Amino acid sequence: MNISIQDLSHTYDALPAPIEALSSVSLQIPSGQFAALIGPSGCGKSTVLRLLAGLLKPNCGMIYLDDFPPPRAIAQKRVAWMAQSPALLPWKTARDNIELAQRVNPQPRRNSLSSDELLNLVDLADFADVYPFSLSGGMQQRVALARSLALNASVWLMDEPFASLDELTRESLAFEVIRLWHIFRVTVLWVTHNIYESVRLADRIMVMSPRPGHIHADIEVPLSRPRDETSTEFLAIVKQIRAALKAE
Amino acid sequence: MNRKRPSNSILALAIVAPALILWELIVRATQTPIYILPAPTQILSTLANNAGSYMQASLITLGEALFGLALGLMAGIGIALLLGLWPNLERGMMTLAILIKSTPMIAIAPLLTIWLGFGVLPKIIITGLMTFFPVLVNMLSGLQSANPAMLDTLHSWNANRGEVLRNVRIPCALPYLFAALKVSGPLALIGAVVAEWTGASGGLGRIMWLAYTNLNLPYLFAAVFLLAAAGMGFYGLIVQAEKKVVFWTPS
Ligand SMILES: Nc1ncnc2c1ncn2[C@@H]1O[C@H](COP(=O)(O)OP(=O)(O)OP(=O)(O)O)[C@@H](O)[C@H]1O
Ligand SMILES: [Mg+2]
Repeated sequence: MNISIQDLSHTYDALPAPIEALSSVSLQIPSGQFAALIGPSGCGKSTVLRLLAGLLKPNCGMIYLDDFPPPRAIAQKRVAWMAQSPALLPWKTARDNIELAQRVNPQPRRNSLSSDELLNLVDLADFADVYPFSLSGGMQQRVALARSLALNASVWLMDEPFASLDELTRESLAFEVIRLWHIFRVTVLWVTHNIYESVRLADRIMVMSPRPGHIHADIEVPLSRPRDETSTEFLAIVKQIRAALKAE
Repeated sequence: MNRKRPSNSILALAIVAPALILWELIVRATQTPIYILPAPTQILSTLANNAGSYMQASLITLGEALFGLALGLMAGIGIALLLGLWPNLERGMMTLAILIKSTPMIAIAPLLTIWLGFGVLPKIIITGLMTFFPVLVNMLSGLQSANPAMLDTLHSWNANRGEVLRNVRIPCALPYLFAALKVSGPLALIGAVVAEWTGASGGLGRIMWLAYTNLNLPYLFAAVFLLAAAGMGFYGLIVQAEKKVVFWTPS
């Protein structure tokens, strides 16, 4: 699924004064690309993702997911949105949390994997009947990941999904996502604060300016995976992103 | 967890028992006449000597309290769910609820007795009216304070109102509902007794009223003791049920 955003602006009705979060953001992400969005805190990255996920309505500008505006794509559950908090329902087991994603607004014509297969994919087969409060933070995020996979969506919107986890867990989960991305061949828009993480994962990195945010640099990552973080090509791209972030 | 419960009741006993002993000693030392304040032993022996009629009266009052509480719960939860689905109704509905809440039950109770007789029905209605408000208010704020991250997740699946209510809002409201029950449970007993006081064919309220008009204080206090015990029992049951139902919150 392509993501296409044209001249998107968004202002929050806040007190005492409205907050202009995005000003004239335009971007195109072709189907199947792994794109990263990086930028300083408060520049509007989460706002872009919430607009794409239909959780906010834009003040002006156009958003298309293939040929559909977000509400249409959401109605068909073509979009999986995942944020920093796993937001699992604490009164449901891991399996029930995953199955809920399939039971709510069901799309019977698009068959997705079973909860057991999904739990296997995120390596939690033994924890199917465990409640979230008995899982570690990383395990909870893995359940949330499996729950997103359960939608069988064509776009994954990932808003710093592993930011609250420790470095080691974060890295291994990020590789997990790359592996799953290869399996499911979806479009990914990955928000991060972490320059190395973005270069490690993405095909392409969009750098946002401080608030009100717009796309300030758009950098291709022509490296094959797995990537060597000590290679000169890798470090050159890191340098390029750092320069773009500083330029503002 | 299980080892805590006996220590709790021991704690309660450790507070109540010395208070009763002190009461007994003061009444004996000052030779207070029985029609002013009876000693606990006199009250307990009255209770023992009339165990049968107290038992029967307790069953009536407890039954009224339970049915009234069930009525109040259904009304409170039902209206809260309605307002959860259609928030536009909130202002009108809450005005009505506050109107009912601020009408003194002591004024309505005799009316209901005139209209519906001396049976249990007017008591159940009064108890329902008294208990529904805490349930409504707490349940509603529970439904409204559902976890925003969970709500966002369901909205990102385009869940409809009913799905959001069932899967997120209602479970999020359950701890609030139990907080309301802790108020409404003991209140239900008061409701039943107040309603009986204004005219009844049986129940602890009627015993209290009879004892009061005859200045038979041991009789009156015996009923009060039973009510206090029943209130504690209600409360304990609610706490136990809460632990079972809202198992996911850290205790
Ligand atoms: N619900 C809201 N109401 C009002 N203002 C908001 C709201 N959400 C975000 N904002 C404002 O919009 C701007 C962009 O917020 P956003 O959450 O999109 O930033 P972000 O790039 O995701 O930041 P971070 O990297 O810290 O997560 C911020 O300045 C913030 O103050
Ligand atoms: Mg953010």
